[in-house]
Amino acid sequence: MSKYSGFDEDDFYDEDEDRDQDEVLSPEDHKQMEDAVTQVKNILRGTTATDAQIRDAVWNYYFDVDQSVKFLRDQLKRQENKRTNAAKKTAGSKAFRERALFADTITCRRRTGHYFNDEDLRLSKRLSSSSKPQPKIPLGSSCLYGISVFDGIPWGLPTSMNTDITYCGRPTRMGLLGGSSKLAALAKARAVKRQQQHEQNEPMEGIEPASPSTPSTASQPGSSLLLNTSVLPSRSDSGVSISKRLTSLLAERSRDRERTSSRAISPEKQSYLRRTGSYSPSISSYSPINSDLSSASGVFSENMPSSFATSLCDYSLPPPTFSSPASPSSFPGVSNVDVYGKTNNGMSADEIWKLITNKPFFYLPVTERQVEEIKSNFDKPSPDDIIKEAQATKGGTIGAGGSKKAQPQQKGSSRAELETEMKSLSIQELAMKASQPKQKINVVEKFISSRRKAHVNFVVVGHVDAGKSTLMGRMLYDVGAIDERTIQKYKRDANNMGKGSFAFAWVLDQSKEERERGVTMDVAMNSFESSKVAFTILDAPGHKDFVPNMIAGASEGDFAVLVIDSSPNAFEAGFVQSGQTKEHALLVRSLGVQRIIVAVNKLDNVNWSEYRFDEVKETLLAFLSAAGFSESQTTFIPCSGLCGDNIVNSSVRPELSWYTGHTLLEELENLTTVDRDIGAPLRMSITDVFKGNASSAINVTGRINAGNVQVGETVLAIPSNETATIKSIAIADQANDWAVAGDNVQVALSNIDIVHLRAGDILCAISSPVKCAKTFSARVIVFQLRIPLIKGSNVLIYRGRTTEAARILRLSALIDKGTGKITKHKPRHLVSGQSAIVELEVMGSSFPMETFKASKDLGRIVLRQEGITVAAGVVEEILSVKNEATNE
Amino acid sequence: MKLISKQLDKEGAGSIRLQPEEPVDLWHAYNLIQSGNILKASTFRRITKEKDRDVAGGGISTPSSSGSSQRVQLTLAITVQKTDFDPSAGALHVSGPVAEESPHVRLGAYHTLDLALHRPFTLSKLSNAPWDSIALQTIASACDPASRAEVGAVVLQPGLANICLVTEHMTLLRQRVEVAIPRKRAADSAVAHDKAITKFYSAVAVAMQRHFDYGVLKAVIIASPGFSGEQLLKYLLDTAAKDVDTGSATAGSNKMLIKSKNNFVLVHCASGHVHALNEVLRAPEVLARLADAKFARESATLEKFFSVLSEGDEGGGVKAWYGPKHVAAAVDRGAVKTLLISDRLFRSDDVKTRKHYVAMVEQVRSQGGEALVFSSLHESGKQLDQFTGIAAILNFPIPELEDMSDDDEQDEVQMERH
Repeated sequence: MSKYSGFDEDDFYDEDEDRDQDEVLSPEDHKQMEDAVTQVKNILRGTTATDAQIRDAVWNYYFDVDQSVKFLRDQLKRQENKRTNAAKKTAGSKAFRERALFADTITCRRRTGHYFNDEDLRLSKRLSSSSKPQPKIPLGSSCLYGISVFDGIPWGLPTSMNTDITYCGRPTRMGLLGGSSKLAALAKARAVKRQQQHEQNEPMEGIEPASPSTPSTASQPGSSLLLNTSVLPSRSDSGVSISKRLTSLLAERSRDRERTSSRAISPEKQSYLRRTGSYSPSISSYSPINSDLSSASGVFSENMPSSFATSLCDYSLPPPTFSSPASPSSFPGVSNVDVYGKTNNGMSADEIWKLITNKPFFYLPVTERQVEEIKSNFDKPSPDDIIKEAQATKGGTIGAGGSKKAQPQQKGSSRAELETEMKSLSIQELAMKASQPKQKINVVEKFISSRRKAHVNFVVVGHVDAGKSTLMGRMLYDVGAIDERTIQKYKRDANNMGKGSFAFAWVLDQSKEERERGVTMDVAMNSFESSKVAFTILDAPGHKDFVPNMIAGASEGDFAVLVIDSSPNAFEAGFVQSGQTKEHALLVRSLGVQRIIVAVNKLDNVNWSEYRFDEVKETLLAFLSAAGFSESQTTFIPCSGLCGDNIVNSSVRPELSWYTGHTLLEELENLTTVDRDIGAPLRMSITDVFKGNASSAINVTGRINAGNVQVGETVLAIPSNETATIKSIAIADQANDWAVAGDNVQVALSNIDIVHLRAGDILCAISSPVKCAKTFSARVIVFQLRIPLIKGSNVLIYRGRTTEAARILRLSALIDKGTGKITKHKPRHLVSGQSAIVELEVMGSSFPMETFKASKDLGRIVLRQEGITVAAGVVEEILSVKNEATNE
Repeated sequence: MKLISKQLDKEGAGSIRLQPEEPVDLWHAYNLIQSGNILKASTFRRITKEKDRDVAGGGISTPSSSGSSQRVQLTLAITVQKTDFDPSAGALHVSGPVAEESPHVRLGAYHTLDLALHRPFTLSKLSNAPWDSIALQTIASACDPASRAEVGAVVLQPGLANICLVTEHMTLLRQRVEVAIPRKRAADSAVAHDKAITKFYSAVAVAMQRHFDYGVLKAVIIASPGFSGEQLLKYLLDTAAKDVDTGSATAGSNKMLIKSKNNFVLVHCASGHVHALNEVLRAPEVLARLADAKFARESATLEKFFSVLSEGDEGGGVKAWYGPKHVAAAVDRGAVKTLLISDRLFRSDDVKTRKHYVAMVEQVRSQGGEALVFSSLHESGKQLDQFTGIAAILNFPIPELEDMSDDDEQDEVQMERH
């Protein structure tokens, strides 16, 4: 019963061509032909190549014997393959189904369309104009396996015809060419019935199985129909006109349509279109066909199957008798799931058929009478337009389903029905809606009622080698956040490396490089809880090259611990102009920190000398008050990170008896948390983006600057302008359903690709997105400068994790530090210590920004130049925003 | 650049025939060719043949008219109206109406000449905009084979690297490498961080291999804050050694890399952004090696300007000024020690403007001062362009300059234009 034994496109075509050929052959050609044929025959002796085949091949290759032999060999091999395949198929439909499952995971995508389109165009013209048997079509070649796509393609193939084989996963809901076996069997039964009714000469089996599956996209009806018609001629040995067949087919369609009297493209279908359009990129190339439907002939003349469709074509070629119900089940991707997303197991055939006939979009929108109707439908926005529209407006209306917008002309009664149907489909477009959490939590109330422990975030700053990491490592160890074994291990390893004193620092300095060099490079975040307060430590690097990282850390902290090395000369080294003690203190102040604790560290190096402590204290106090820290907000604690004195436990050392104040931990516990606006729209600055180990979700860490967030909420990432859904929230490694401003959180996001997220981006509430500034004005305080700031100076803007190159567009005015009044307009340059209003232009990509008025956190910036902090300030006004087009 | 012939009269009008040899020569040509000049070069043009007579393009023949068209190589002279230079592609297009009779092309028809390497061209300047000292100096320096220092430079910071080629007159950004590096977090994450760092270095190494010819480069500068540069160099040499040992496909270029090991210069800089290059090129390590290179001198001079500017009033008055008006006044008083001027100003379409600046440069030189023409394709030149493109370091302060109102708006208009 092999379906291939009865027909072979090539054979069919060859004989025909031979006849023509003889007519045009000149005597010389004839002689050449005979010679070549004899040669080929000799070479191919023992194979099954027919005379006709050889002649044809020879003619095709212009009497090139080698090429012809090559071609014929391959062709014979192919035929052999086909035969064995066919044999296998008859042997067991089960095996075939397996193969089909494999094959449907492979889509052959056309790389460039021109060649095929031309071919198709030609072909379809002939289809509609004459009954002349068709020339051979490379399209219909066997494609049971991905590799065999290349079979049957003639030599001298233009590169444009090369195909790309892309693994696209299993397209489960595509339903391109068929339903389940039952469905197809039903369709077959139906076809037979209709055949009797309409006294059609030609059987319709090529078309019928395809029809039930066509709803998935508007384009596919056209293409699948063509698929089948394009192979029809090769199977028919009678001379009946194809066009006649097509006409009859169309007539039939129209009859069916009349019965259901429905529009060619119903709103339901539009929703399908939307879904499928966004569903599988592999079929996205079909979408232009939608518009082609507006002209009746367009369906046939312009939209021919791509190689993808062609690869499916083989499945749609049923065995001649079409009696086996198993074979349609090989239609890819739809064997288990029908278009409604329900399994049809247990449904009777009649039920299914009813279902089909009640759905108007199962019919091919190709009859002439309906062309007008289709046209009118296309006057309305296309599915793509609808999606665009929905996307454009989604920001404004949370919770209003995109689906509603998608179907503006929908009638009231069917809408509800559709909505439920859509839900049952678990549509991907959910991502486009602002999904609401299952149970909306009133976070503000919850926060107040929860009376959770106070959360204190503090950043540890100071000159390089002041002992910041060691101090914090010690603190974590003393409060029991690090177990004894780990510390012993660090001590051992550090000793082996000859850096015994670094053991505590290793608690925070995790990376290999940091440990080898004994220098903190990036901010380390750690949390622990005392009996009263939950702490988050941000251990900033002290090295001057890593000030950007320190800025990132400082922008996450509410309080600062300034660590001072009190060893002889060490304090002085850190306190000079280029030292980081001053720079860090100024930076944390300008980043909004008001309360600072100074840990005078390494007092063991100066024999716990009170004199040294007082010396350091006096010098610093003068500086800090000048920097804007009030004396009441500044505390000094003598301590030693290495020895552990006055960190968690009060020192019992007789040498330190002169100090009676609090320990560092006590001092930290006494900090009163800052009140934040937790009811405002969400703002969360991202500090890190990474993929989780097991889950597909994308994890981001960051700080909530304003508002609150809860699991299930949809948020907007700026500047990518992509939405994401909050999957889970963790505060200090503890999972929680919500978080409020001031928390440093780790959030798992779903429905977003990692490329849309970068450290420094802002997550915000959909209802109030952050703008991306292009130019803005800022009030700045100029730090100690090496070279003056002039118009056109290049600077780097730092805010949290974000760095952006910018230049000074204009020096607008000098202002008085105390009163904020303008003292001079348009200064030529700015020198150290001045305050000014400047206009800045962001050079790079989008820079999400808010004014200081709108957000205390996001409105603060630091300007640096060649590794030196030149100014810090607040954003006064956003003058122009980045072109919205960049978001597209 | 090759100077083929030179025919100038006393006023400096006349023609010079040149042949560009290197991509940078097109940059010189771009600086030489001004609107109004006559440029003659070999070119291709599609000629439509109508019956027996050739019809020039440019309006007479319509696309629908019958007749065959064919591409003809011919030499055309055009009056320059527009020049367009793409430094990264190394392409220079000059367009304007045809100025000389040609058998194929009607006089006045528009044509675009694409100047290409190894194809000579003749540039004629008329007496109203003659060959001036700046132009002749440009030709002299372009034809000087000694001034072909080419340096590879990589500025990087964790996660971001810019791979540049620095020639005497141009800085070309060849590739920007960006790799997202997860921050270190407690426990598991240090591994991910280290992995990402290694990935980043390998991406940079691949990019360097693609863009740097270690055999030709005079030096390869690796600049970074922190230890990234050091790490990168270590990575480069380690992988190169491994590659050479295993004899993989890239072994050849890696052998070259190891050979030119001593050409690598490690420099500290503040960030991995391109404009850190300015800071890099005046680093003592670089200056020690490339002191005579133009770009190094430019960067150092600009730095000097800023330091004088920041001294402020200490020496009895400000001795550094910028802006066309202030500098012109300083030049008139003979106070200029070093004049910093961007070549952008000489490219002005307005003949008078160019003449004005050329005169200024000549005046400074005649007064014994130094005049340095900055290439606007270098970071230092770009920075100079940001503040009007002209600046001066003075021998003595001129108090009158303080009182001069500066036409900021005019400056800005000028800046907008470019």
